[in-house]
Amino acid sequence: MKRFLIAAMAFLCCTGICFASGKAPKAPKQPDREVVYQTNLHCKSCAAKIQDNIAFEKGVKDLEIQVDEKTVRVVYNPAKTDSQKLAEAIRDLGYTAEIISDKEL
Amino acid sequence: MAIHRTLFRTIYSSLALFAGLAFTAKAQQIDTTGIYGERQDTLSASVFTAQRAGNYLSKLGDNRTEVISAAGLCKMACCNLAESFENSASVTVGYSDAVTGARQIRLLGQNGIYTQMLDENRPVMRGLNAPFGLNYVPGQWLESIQIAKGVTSVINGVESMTGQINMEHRKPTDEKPLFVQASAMNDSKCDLNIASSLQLDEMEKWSTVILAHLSGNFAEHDMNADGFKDDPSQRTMALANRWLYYAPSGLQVRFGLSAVADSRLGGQVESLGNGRWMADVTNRSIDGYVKVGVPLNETNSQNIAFVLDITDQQMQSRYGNRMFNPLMPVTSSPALMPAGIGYRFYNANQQSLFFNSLYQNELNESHKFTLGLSALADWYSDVLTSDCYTTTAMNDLGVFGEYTFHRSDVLSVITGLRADLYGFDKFRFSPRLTVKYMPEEHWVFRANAGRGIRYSNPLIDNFGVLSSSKPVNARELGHPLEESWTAGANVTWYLPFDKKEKTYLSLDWFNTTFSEQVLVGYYADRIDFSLLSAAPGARSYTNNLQLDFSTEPVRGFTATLTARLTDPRQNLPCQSDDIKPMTSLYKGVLNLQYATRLSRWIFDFTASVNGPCRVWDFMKGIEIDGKEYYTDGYTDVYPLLYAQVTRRFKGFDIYLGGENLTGYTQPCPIIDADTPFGTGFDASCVWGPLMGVKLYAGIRMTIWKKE
Repeated sequence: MKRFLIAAMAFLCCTGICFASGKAPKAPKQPDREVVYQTNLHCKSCAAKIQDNIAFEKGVKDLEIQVDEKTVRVVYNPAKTDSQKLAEAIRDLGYTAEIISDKEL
Repeated sequence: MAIHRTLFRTIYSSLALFAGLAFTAKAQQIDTTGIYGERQDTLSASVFTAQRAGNYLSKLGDNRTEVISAAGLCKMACCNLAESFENSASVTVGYSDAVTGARQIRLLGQNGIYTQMLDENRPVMRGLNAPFGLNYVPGQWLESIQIAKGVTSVINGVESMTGQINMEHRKPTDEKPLFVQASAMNDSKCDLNIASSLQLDEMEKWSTVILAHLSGNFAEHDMNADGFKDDPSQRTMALANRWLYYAPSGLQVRFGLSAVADSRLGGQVESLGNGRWMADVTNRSIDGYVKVGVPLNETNSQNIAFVLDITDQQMQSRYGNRMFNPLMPVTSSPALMPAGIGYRFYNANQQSLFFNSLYQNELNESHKFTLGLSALADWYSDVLTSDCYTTTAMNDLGVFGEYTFHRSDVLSVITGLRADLYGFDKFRFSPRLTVKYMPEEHWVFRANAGRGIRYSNPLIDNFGVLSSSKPVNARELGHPLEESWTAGANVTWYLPFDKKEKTYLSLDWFNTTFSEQVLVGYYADRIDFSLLSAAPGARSYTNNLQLDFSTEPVRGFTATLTARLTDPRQNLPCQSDDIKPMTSLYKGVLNLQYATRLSRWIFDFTASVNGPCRVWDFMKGIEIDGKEYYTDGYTDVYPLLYAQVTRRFKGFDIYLGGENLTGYTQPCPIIDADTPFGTGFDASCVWGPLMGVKLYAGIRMTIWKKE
């Protein structure tokens, strides 16, 4: 039993060391960006559709839709997506998406 | 009766023609959403964040209106409409009896029969559909529910005495070609709901939504070991198809069909053999409707609308120990039933017709009026055990007018007057007044008052009495009119520091006083129905006070606290005081929700404290575990806890939750459960939960329409 425990500990240590040494150096984290799109959405159903889909796009961290102004504000991680990909995702839902602003936070 | 049925069939078959004619109306470049359009009703309809409000008070409503949104309907299992009110203090949901699973709501301390139920502004759940109607509307079919307190518009009649609950279903215009929800509970209850909204042409003139529901349970439970199932074995199937035609001219036609079939078997557990006591209820209903809105000028300041709704319902129920034979016609001889105590038999048919026509004219921004004619008819035929088979027609022809004065957003005054001819011989005027005053953006004051009138249906309105062995004289009264006056006021203060108006404090008070009402009195040896007017000096009224507080202290975390006090009074000869029996005197609800930034995780927690009810005097002598249980004449105060965790993914959500986590159940909900064929047997004195802890898991899947 004692031998088994020693062997298990050794295995865990070796695995940990291997993982640690094999890990690539972490790239400096890019600040999040905020993009605002002008769209042709016109009602709360449109807002719900954009909300339920864009919230689950890769890299999206926050989302706000203004029905009156027909705008969609998205905060995203630029390492995972970009404003063009997000615009395409909005267009796939059947709406126009023109970038009004795209800035670092 | 034959004439009525012929008329019914003729009107039913002309639905298509009626809709067809509407399409030929002259095209005009206008919009008709003013009449029977979708409600613009959210806290702030213009800003959507990833977190959505669940329950909230509408700032826009002229009446004090609580909205349960689509997000609110996902906070709990909400398998059906009854369960959708669990986190509302305004509405209390209870069981009519302990054997059939029939549910009833209470608003302002009064039975749900005094609350008008609307399906997108059409009166529904009337008559035979009232006892089980709440079970037949799947929560997942709904987009939102609005609960308006006090008297409301006269346009849909004056049956709303304590308030109005309007259900908004999933829309044909929703861009969701497929929605599927499935859930299962640890008590073996399973639910499946499917919805499909389809837009059929490029211009989206034609759209339709198909809604389907299937539910049932497969095991029986008897947690309190009284020999009776806690929930009946049941199978429910519902199907609906709704259509919308929206012309560029502004003409709107909405029509649809729905059907429900439900069978349930409650009573003693099967292991007790063939001689056991059973409650066997089968319901079938079919409903068809057409709504047409026609603009009369280019600005839509003048328009007309028509609504036609036709329903056919059947209920067949048997209490005793013989299984119900579904092939038995409604007019079957009661002699087929074994005679004796503990046996009952109630079969009924109902055909209903509702017609409403409206003319609306918005003279300018300040003045608007609506004029209309309406007709409501119910044809009942029913038989109760050894009573005679009877048929009854209840008619209401009405003419109404409503004037609305607006002074920008500051003041709204709505005055309405209806004149109704009931049964061609009783004439009634019903005035109503609603005032909303918003002196500045953070304060809203509301007040309303008016008369309510409805035909009573003593047996169906008190469906629980059928699960009692005691003699019932409900049918001797016929269908008298019940009449009440309701007045109330509300003040809501939106705290100025919260720009999103999610922090508010609201206080409301309502009084409902009956001038005529069917009274139900429970004695040890009988259940006695009588009229309020027949007892000189008798009074029946409730006062209701409610405080609501809601806030979002940090983004994603919302807390809502509600407290309600009810003072229900009713003079009954069977009671030693005037406190209305079986009505909870207070309720407190705390609802907490936390949603992560993109609502990928949602945590919901609801706790409620349910106040005591005055019991029937005859219940004071009931012994539980050898002791008199209701010595002070009141029921227990009990807590209820609900919790749910939802994980959302792209296109689907999964959720896990629990109901009644404290496990509290009403002790001995069935009186004389050991002798169901004895004279004292009564399963209708229910005031608390019948099932202990329930755990459930479910999945919701949505496919959105893509470009």
